[in-house]
Amino acid sequence: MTEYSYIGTEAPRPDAPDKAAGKALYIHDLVRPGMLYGKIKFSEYAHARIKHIDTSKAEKLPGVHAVITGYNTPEIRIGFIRDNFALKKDKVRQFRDEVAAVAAIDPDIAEEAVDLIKVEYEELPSVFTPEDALKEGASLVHEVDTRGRPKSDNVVPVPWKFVAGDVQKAKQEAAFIAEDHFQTPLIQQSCLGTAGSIAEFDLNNNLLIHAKTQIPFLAQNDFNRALAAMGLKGKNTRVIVPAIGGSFGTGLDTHSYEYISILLAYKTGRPVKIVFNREEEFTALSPRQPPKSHIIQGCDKDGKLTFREIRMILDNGAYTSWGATTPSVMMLPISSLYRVPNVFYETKIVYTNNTYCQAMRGYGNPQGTWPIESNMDQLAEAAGIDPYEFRMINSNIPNETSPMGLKISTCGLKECLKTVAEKLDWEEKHGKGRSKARGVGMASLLHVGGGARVYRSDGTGIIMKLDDFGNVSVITGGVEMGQGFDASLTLASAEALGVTPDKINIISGDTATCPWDVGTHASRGAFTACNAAIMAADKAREKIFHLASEHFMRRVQSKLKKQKKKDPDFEIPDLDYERMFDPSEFDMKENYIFLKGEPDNPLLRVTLEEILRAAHYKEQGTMIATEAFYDPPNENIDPRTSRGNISATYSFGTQGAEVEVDLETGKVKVLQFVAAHDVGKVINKQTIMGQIYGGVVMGIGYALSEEYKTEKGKNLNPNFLDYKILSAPDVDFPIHAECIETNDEKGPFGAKGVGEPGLVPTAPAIANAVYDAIGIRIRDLPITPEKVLAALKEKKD
Amino acid sequence: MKKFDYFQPETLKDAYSLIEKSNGSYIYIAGGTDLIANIKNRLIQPDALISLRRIKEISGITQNKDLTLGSMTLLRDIEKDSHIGQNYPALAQAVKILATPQIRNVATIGGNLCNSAPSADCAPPLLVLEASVTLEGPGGQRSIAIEDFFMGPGQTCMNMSEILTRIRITPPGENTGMAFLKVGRVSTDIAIVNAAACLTMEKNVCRKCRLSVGAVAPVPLRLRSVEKMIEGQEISPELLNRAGKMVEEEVKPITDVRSTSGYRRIMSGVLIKRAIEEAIRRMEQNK
Ligand SMILES: Cc1cc2nc3c(=O)[nH]c(=O)nc-3n(C[C@H](O)[C@H](O)[C@H](O)COP(=O)(O)OP(=O)(O)OC[C@H]3O[C@@H](n4cnc5c(N)ncnc54)[C@H](O)[C@@H]3O)c2cc1C
Repeated sequence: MTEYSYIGTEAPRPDAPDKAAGKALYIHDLVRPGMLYGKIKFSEYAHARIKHIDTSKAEKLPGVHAVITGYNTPEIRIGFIRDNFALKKDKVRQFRDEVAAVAAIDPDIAEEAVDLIKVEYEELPSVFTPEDALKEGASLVHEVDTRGRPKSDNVVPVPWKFVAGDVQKAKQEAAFIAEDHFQTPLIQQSCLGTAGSIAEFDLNNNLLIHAKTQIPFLAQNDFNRALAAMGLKGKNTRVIVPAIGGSFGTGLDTHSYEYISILLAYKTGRPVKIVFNREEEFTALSPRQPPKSHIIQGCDKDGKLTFREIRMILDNGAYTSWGATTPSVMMLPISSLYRVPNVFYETKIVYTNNTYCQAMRGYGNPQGTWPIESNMDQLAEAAGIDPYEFRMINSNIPNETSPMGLKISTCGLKECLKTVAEKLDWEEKHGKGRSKARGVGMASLLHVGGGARVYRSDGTGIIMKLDDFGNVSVITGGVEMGQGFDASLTLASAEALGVTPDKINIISGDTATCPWDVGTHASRGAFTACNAAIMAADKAREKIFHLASEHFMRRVQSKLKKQKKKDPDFEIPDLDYERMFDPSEFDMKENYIFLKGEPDNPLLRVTLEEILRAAHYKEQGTMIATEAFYDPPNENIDPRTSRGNISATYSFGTQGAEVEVDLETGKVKVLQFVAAHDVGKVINKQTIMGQIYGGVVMGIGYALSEEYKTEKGKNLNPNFLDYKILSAPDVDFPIHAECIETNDEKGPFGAKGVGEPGLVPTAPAIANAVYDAIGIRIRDLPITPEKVLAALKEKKD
Repeated sequence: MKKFDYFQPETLKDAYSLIEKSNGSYIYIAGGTDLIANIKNRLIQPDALISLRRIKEISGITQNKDLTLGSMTLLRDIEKDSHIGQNYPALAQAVKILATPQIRNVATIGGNLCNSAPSADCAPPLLVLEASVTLEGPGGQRSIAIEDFFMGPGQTCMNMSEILTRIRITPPGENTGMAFLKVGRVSTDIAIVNAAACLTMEKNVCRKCRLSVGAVAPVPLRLRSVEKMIEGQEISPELLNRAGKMVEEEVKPITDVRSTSGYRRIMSGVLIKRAIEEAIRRMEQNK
């Protein structure tokens, strides 16, 4: 085992004090000189033709600088398949459609002006479920496709299909089969920091935008495209990302409000800020997709899985975001969680007049794992095998390629399963708590852990720049959004370079000064950035040791002389001066440069800053700034075969819950929770615990309480009074988080991505525990007391 | 948000004279945790807010023969009061799980009552304690039973210029136990249903029973017929089940974004049963 100075320690997060003290600057805090406040007028119908927009009153309101609509601005197309527009013309397709916007000198005037805009509509028939939208003669959400050709149905042209082996044959041969239908609700990411942007133009018509985004460089690309649509082809965007109060996938797309702030800024010649209030955050941002799944799985008489078939229908809402690609991630657990040779998976994504969806933490994986892991328990029961045993029989193993072509390298799934069973006292408790309405349940996960080649590149850049004092600016394209990215990158950089963590300064979030990165998503931030940091640090060390070979000896000699002056009895040792001219003889740790094997002699070591200053203050001097670009060894999924090793390594995990159900109220109480995750290697203990605890609590919210309720396309609970996320008092039970270290050779110091896994299997673990407790299987999340009570009553009748 | 004037009178008299002088619409503000939300949601658009926060005479807890709570007493101060915790545990518990510490640091008991939400958590305990409230206005002072105070969601028997000044509770006497229970979707929630019970026992027989449920009718309910059915009886599981069934029939819950009428109905019965049991348990503990 390698011994590390900082990797695996519980170092505090560098961004925490400012955030806790209210000093960090979020988009809400930023004020630009001459800034105006933008506000959007949203649709009042789920589906209607726009007959007339009267902006005259708003324009006359003192303090209003601009009123824009789709009719007086250039058309800006946005979205994954460009079926969406920054401002809507002709027709609205969902309640949140942007029909007009204003910029005014203060937020109150902007709000008043928006109210003064009168829009005349002609309501159209709407479709609110994918099933209805697929019916013959259903009202079309989009009459034409993005190329202007007439559409005949509401199917989104993004189909996903994966086939391996022969499921039909396997079905006939299976000894046991379990089949069921499962669904999950729309849920909202619930970022504490709401969305917003400030757009402004310089006198050359280049755009500066402060934006809450996870993809600054792809956003730059999107915005440059918008500039071209505005007649500003060739002009550039600089994206600056302020402190982010949680993003959870909301920042993976660029949004209408951002383009509207750009249009308003261009029109007024002033910076324009649009920040959502909580209600807008709920109603005008995109929630997580709600798929409905039909699953059939089978196994042989020994409990070995023989096939898995899943058909899924997804409500896309009115437009298509990158969220439409989440089935490609669902495909991972569907094809490869547990060893299953025959797989069939097919999705249909359907336009409706509901709010359009986007990705959320887990990128589809929670929705995919929900039917799989609920149904695994059903199949285990059908086969008469304990669900833990059943999972052990089918567990993934190291060094195996799955039917999808995932090259599983390290795999700690069996250890995770075992850890959960032990911590929960599975043998003692499973199947034995019915009389007390207590039960235990577990569920596992597989997720990308080594980046994810979603785009053509999965790369990230790092620049390391050292100053006169040995401070190291680690300039990254990645984004800290609360997940602890800076904390991990700090320790990895310190370890790789050989400096103390306090010398590391993470600089991020500026497309003009930071190196390119594809985006902070897919749990790839730490994995890719720390790998890049190791590369950049290696280059820096090489340069530093080269400088050492020039300056070390003189420094050591002068030290020795000084010592002799102080202490005449001091004998200058006989030193091997040859070695001091050889760069390969040096090593560096804790800011000291020394000869290999002699780290501790204070007379024979030189500080990094001494060497750096010597290099700077010298004729024909030099400086140290290195760069590295890390692009993991992984593959795009082949669109024809749906195969490809999308990630350089895979994260596994198992979670388990012990619950008690109140038979009179239907309330599910979690008594304890275990989360065992194959994390490769812990980089920063505090951060990883934060990711796991946070993931679990978010996952329990998904399991028990979160639900974005709508009626005819309109959100009914756009606030935390009625949209229920868990808060501290709800977590009145222990969460045992266990990190299983499998030391993956692709990972930085062996680490895998862990940003998302914490919430992936949480809901089925709880549902399985509820089944164990009361014999009732809830198939649609959340598991509310109402549903449990109704099911208990049905069971009794 | 529409602009409004803001006044901070230091005495009730000053407050009344502000009202007499004002010609637009005004409204009293206590902690503002209900009111400001309503203004922001444009449910009301007053021209002026008259803050009651500086009026010392209507704030604080005093215990003489009766317990008197100034209407401007912060929920947090009630929560921390050990005398209330000891002797009025139903009220203490209601306050303890009302909203969050941040809210309780500014919200007042008077505001909770005057807002007249069917789900107001302070209402059931005060109903079973048969509290009375004092209302004062330019025209004088009156005292009424808490049961007559609530008229409907957001409506009380007060007229515009009246101020709720004090809440008075007579100690319930020996051999009495009480409890407050609430179900929400998560720990911090507006009640889907809340309930309180206060029982005076003589051995196993209930001498006096006061029951209340909230969030299941336009106003927080006193359950008189259920109380009558229980008084004079021994408390048994059968009796509790009968009580639960009666409660289910007395309530008139609605379905909304928080819950369904069916679930609320069942929960009213369950909570009343459990509140009675807990009240008796507490009384026995105090012996
Ligand atoms: C996040 C959140 C959670 C909440 N959770 C709960 C909960 O769990 N349970 C619960 O019951 N409530 C809850 N509330 C509602 C609210 O906090 C309470 O009702 C609180 O007690 C109101 O007190 P206040 O002093 O803030 O009243 P204000 O908002 O100042 O006033 C409320 C109303 O009463 C009137 N008023 C106030 N005082 C007087 C007076 N002395 N005389 C005449 N009129 C007066 C005002 O004009 C106004 O109409 C919650 C609120 C929020 C924002």
